[in-house]
Amino acid sequence: MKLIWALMRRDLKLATRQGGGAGTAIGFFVTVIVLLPLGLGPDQALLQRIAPGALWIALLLSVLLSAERIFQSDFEDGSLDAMALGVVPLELVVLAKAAAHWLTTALPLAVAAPLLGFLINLDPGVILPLGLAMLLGSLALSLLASLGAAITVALRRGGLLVSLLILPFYVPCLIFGVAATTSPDLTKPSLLMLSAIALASLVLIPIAAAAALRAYLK
Amino acid sequence: MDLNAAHVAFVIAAYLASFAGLAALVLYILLRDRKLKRQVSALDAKKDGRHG
Amino acid sequence: MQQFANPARFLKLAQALLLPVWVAALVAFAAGLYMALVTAPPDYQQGETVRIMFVHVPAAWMALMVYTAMALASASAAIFRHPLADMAAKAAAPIGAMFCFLALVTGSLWGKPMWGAWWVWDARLTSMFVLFLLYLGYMAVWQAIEDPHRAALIARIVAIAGFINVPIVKFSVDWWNSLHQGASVFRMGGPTIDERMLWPLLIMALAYMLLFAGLLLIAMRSEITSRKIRQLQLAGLAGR
Repeated sequence: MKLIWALMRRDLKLATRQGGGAGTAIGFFVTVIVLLPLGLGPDQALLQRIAPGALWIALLLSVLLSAERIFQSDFEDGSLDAMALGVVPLELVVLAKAAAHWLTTALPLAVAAPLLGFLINLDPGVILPLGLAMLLGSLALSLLASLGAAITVALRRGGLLVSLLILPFYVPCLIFGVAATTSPDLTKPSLLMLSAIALASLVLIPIAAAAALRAYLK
Repeated sequence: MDLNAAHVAFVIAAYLASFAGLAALVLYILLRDRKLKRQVSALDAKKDGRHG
Repeated sequence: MQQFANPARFLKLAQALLLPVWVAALVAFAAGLYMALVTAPPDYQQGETVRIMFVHVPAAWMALMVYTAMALASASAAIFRHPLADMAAKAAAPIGAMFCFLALVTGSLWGKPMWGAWWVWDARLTSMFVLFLLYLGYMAVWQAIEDPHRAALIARIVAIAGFINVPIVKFSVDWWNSLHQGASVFRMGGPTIDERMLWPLLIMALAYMLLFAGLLLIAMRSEITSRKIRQLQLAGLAGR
């Protein structure tokens, strides 16, 4: 357990220091949200209608953009080999790394999203359901991103493949995430569905991602 | 089939597209099989030549 | 060498099956096409357009079936380490992808006159589209990873994960679509399907399935050949 904490702390440090990549995702997220009204026009009613969906799409893309770095540098410098040989099962290493990615990338975005919503006239009434949905959804997004990252870790142009592989898995997250904000009666079932997806990912993805990493490590 | 019915062009297009797609698939798989077979027999010949 | 024990037996079996399967496929296609285009009656609502169903529905069924078969083959490759299972999944992928693509294209050709649009974000269309992406992703994995053994390990994970995802996508888009629009009525041939429409549909489905079987046998044979080529090349390099 101590080792897992150490792993996570190491990843958190690496991500948050200068050039670590956590900032890139947030920068990208803000860019998308700022460019959106410029592209669509300043119609307040239109912006309000599309705000939750726009925030979700920006979140998805930002997480996808930062997916590659979850395992890549550790794979390239051999740290991952060391971790695979260590006492901590590779499944838990994956979990620790996904958790670090979530804490440094997806979670800050999920927290920032409702605030950035003010820029695109987000209905204040949906801030709470949107925030909750993003909190749960971002966990699933981070885990799915780490699966994509593990599958493509040794490939030179893995970025394109990651998006192709992970896109189908992001579809349900996006649908339930946006549905949580469309009407009050849908909030609870969508949040439940998102938690189901997040929990299932929490159990299954470390297994799958560790299997993928093992295929590359031997 | 009534060829003067409305939208009949869409029906024909759907059948043509389906069979063009399936034909392309059959062709691709057959040609790949032929190419690989030729490659393997060339390699086999080379190997036998070296040993004999 | 144990690797070759099973493939050798498979090749013999494939050789014996190929001709009957292809003959049966051609007969089924001829019969199915005749029934679909001549004996099947036009629909009272959709008119002649209903005939698109006979090439659309079998393609869609096969797209789903082939992906299921790929996932099962991948799972059995992971559990039983059967050397042919990975090859079967790899060989099936382009065939399934083509079926999926044709289902989307013919669906689009049906949608234009019936719905007035080439593409509607209907639940069924969306989940079929996602299935197509899964096929492409699976094939891209085989393309991207050079070492076939490693590619097989990764492709298994992708196939199985995608298989788990399909029902989730199906459920979510059904839910999503019922939220946004309830008007688009997707139904085939009216409420109860006429027997004169059911038979051509089933025979066309059989024809597609036989075609799949015939193509799969050849593609798996190619796969075995390409592994052999790789081994010969490696042996040639080592011998030098």
